[in-house]
Amino acid sequence: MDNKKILLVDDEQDTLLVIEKQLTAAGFKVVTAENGANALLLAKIERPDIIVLDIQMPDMDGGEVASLLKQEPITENIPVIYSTCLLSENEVYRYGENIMLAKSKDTKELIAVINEILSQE
Amino acid sequence: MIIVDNLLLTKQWKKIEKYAYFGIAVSLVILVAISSTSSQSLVRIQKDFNWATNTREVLVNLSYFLSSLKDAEMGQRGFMLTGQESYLDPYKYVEKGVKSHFTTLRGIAADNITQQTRIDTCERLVTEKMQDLQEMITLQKNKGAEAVKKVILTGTGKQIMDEIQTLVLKMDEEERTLLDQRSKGIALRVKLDAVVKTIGFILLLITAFLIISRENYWFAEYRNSAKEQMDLINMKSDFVATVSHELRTPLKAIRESIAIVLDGLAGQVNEEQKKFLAVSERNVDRLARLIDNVLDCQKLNSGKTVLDLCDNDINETAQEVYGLMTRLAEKKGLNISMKLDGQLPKIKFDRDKIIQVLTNLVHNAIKFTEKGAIAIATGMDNNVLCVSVKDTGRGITREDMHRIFNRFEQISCNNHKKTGGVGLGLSISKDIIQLHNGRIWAESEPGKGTTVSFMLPITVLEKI
Repeated sequence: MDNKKILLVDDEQDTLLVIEKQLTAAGFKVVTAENGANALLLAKIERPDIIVLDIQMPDMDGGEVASLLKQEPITENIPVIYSTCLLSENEVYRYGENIMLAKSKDTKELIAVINEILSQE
Repeated sequence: MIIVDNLLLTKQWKKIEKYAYFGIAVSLVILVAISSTSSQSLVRIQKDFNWATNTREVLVNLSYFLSSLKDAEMGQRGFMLTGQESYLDPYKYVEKGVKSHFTTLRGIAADNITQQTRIDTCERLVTEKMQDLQEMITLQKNKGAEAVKKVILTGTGKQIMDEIQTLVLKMDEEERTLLDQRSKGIALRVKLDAVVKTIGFILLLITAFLIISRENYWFAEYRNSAKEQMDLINMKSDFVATVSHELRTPLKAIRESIAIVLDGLAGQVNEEQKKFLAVSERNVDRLARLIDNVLDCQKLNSGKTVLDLCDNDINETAQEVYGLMTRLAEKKGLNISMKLDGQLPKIKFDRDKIIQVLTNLVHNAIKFTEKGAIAIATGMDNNVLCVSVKDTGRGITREDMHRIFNRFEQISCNNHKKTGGVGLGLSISKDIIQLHNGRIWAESEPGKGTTVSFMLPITVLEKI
């Protein structure tokens, strides 16, 4: 996928590091945010094509962030992939209009899902 | 605890509210339309009724007056015959009331120009007749009855009377026609009113029905969304959530880091390095699978698992598992085959979870079989769907049979080879099948082989 931008949101630095590395190797541009506030800001400034959103974060959780994203005209239409530790590797959960993946899934599978969503746009 | 405020929920609720207001507004409009049309109708009916009453009054009035006039004439004749003044009473009565009578008549028939003209003519004729009678009375007083008789014989008096009678008859006829018309009008309007009211109320019912069914549908949607919300909140706030996070987060970092290096993204890797990185990868995968099993078990037990039930084809599912497990079986030199019943209907089950169960059963079969074959079969038995995995492995003894579905149970084998795993697979499978309201069981002959089967009912009851 040529130069599509992904916003990664996760409170764990190591997680951001390893996922970013693989997404960049796969040809995506990546921006990262460690908390909800930064995520909202970056979403507005960087206008990513997809947002990968961690659910469990200390201050503002993924659900809240998604809710706030939906309230802004700039960000309301960006597809969101939720990422959670609560699902086992093979579980996929549909949450509203969005998809929720297990964090323990390989990043390669995350990339496959991202490509699928982008090709549907 | 952080509450998730889902905009979707609020949007859905607002939609429900707005539509409710819309529905009320439409119903009010229909009601107002019905009642205003109806009351307009009533006003017209009242008017027509008043006209009808008027008309009757006119008719009565006319006939009464005509007879009074005849009485006056008769009275005069009587006076002529007897000379007694008392016979003139009717005459005097009419004379007194003529003017006011015509005024009244004019008033009642005020809306009718034709009648007004006739009333004028009538008044003229009546005045003439009264004058005529007066002249005869005076004549009699002056010249006596014989003179009056001569005047009567000329016939002019009678002529006038006949004219009056004809006129009154015409007026009478006219009023009767009007009465008839107006009565018919009233009847029609009453009918129309009933029709309008009926149509109006039917419209109201249809509107109410449409709105209520739409609202029901949206409210169900809303309830589902709310339930999703609650699921998320529940998922987050318990022990499983914390443990999940603490175990899976570091594990993910480790796995991904290894993958990054192995893929050459962090620089070139030599064979020796690859070997040991692969060791780490294998073992991290083992850990990950263990964590998944433990947490799945915990989730299933805490009743927090929701089945994603859809109409699915069990044969397709079996084929998918077959595809996944073929290589593993062949690596161990085992033959794996399928015997699928082509006549099976689609039934509701959670596809991912049933794949999990089948994979577990086939995996066990491979694990506990050294040589021979594994067979997956699907079929229908007494209106329930049956799936079985048969192997030619070492089998399960009678004593061990009742333990195999328990958690953390592993049947120890006689050779000291560890078979790996922690003994959760069958327990999880059992939980999943039971969630589907099905049954899972095993049959075995030690040394010959084992068949583990499960059945799914044709209608799976949804647990809320």
